[in-house]
Amino acid sequence: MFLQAVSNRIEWALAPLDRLRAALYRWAAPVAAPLYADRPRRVRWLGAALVMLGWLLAATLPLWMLALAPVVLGVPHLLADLRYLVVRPGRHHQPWFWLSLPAWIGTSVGGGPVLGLAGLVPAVLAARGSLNRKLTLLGGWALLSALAWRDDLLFQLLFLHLHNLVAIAWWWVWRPCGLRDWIWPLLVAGGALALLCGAAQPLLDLTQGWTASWTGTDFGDQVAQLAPGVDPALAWRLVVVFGFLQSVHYGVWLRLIPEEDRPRPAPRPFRASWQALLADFGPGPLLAVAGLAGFILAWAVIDLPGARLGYLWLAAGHGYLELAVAAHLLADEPRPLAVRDRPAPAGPATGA
Amino acid sequence: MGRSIPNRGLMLALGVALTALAAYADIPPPGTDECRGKQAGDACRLGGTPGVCADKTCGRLDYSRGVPPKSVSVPCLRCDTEGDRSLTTGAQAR
Repeated sequence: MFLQAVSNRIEWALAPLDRLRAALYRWAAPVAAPLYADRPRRVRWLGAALVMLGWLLAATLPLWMLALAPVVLGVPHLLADLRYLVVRPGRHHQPWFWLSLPAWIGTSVGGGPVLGLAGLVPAVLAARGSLNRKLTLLGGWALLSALAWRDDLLFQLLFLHLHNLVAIAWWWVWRPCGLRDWIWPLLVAGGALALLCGAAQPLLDLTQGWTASWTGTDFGDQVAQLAPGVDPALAWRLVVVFGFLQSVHYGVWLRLIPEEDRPRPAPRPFRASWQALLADFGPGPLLAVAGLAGFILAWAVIDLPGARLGYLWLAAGHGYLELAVAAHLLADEPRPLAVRDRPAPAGPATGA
Repeated sequence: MGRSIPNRGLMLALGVALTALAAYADIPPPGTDECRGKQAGDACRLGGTPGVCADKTCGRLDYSRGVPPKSVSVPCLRCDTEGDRSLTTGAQAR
């Protein structure tokens, strides 16, 4: 009853935003309609815009980005992970998901990467693919586990940096695509390369982005966390690249994959998006996630660096979830099919 | 893609995740200050080894004036484990 009332209130609050958006669409239609009407084209320009915005912010205000993005976008991106990798494909009805879950949760409470990787084993064994395919993937798991066992700090650092790129691979799983669709991933590669070559230095000098004392952190802290032991001349560039790729990671999960996954190709009103989210999760879990997001935000108001680290701890397991689902798909079929093209599992249908 | 309304299991998973958040505070992330929010003399853990937070001098890179960064020494709290104390390696913590 209470949850229904909350949901009604949210829909009521979204109604004027939908009206505003509809008015904006009508106003901009003569120019912008071709950009919006076609899904692949929409994803192309949205992706390019997100990449350029992320690059500009990373190259001018990286400390702002690194401090604020995880506490604001982190929990919603975890929800998107869970929604598109687990709930919508119905993987929470499969036993392997529950067998792997303790490994991911264990990683989030300090269990280390070897434990996180252990979640791959049920994911691979439960797949329907050939024994050879499974053995190959289990060999990969053993190799990664051995590397993590040998030097878990180095493994975690590499995983932290590379995991941001995994989002692009996931986007490809959603829609294997033509050459033109690779414009924004190419922009990501070019942008990261430019930052690695030091392109941000003049911009940081110009914006005084080397410091942001209000964030409670500085470049020295970020270097110590994200690139310890690396030559100082390269370390700061890796920090900026991390900020850029993290923004790409968030953008893919919060904007591009939802665009690709949506059954209806046209943009969806806010109220319909809310109803679809409600249909996927139900009001109770959504309330719990909203509480968690609110907790992280409130924590950030009191202690921003602490809230960021707290979120990063909480999120430690989600990278291994992405890896395990990828391993399951790889073990399942000769080639991952576009998720949109998969046959729908049995379940109640919703609109929009 | 079909839609699936999650069962009680998903609620359980979210509950466990929230519990995990509450439990995380005892385990510091790698490369961060294990004595964050603590005082000298407070107990801490470093890589699973118990220790005590102690006043130290830490070397760090100062990028506030751009690159190349300057190397500076600042007072800090560091988790001093049993092994560290027996080695008595001096003042530089990192």
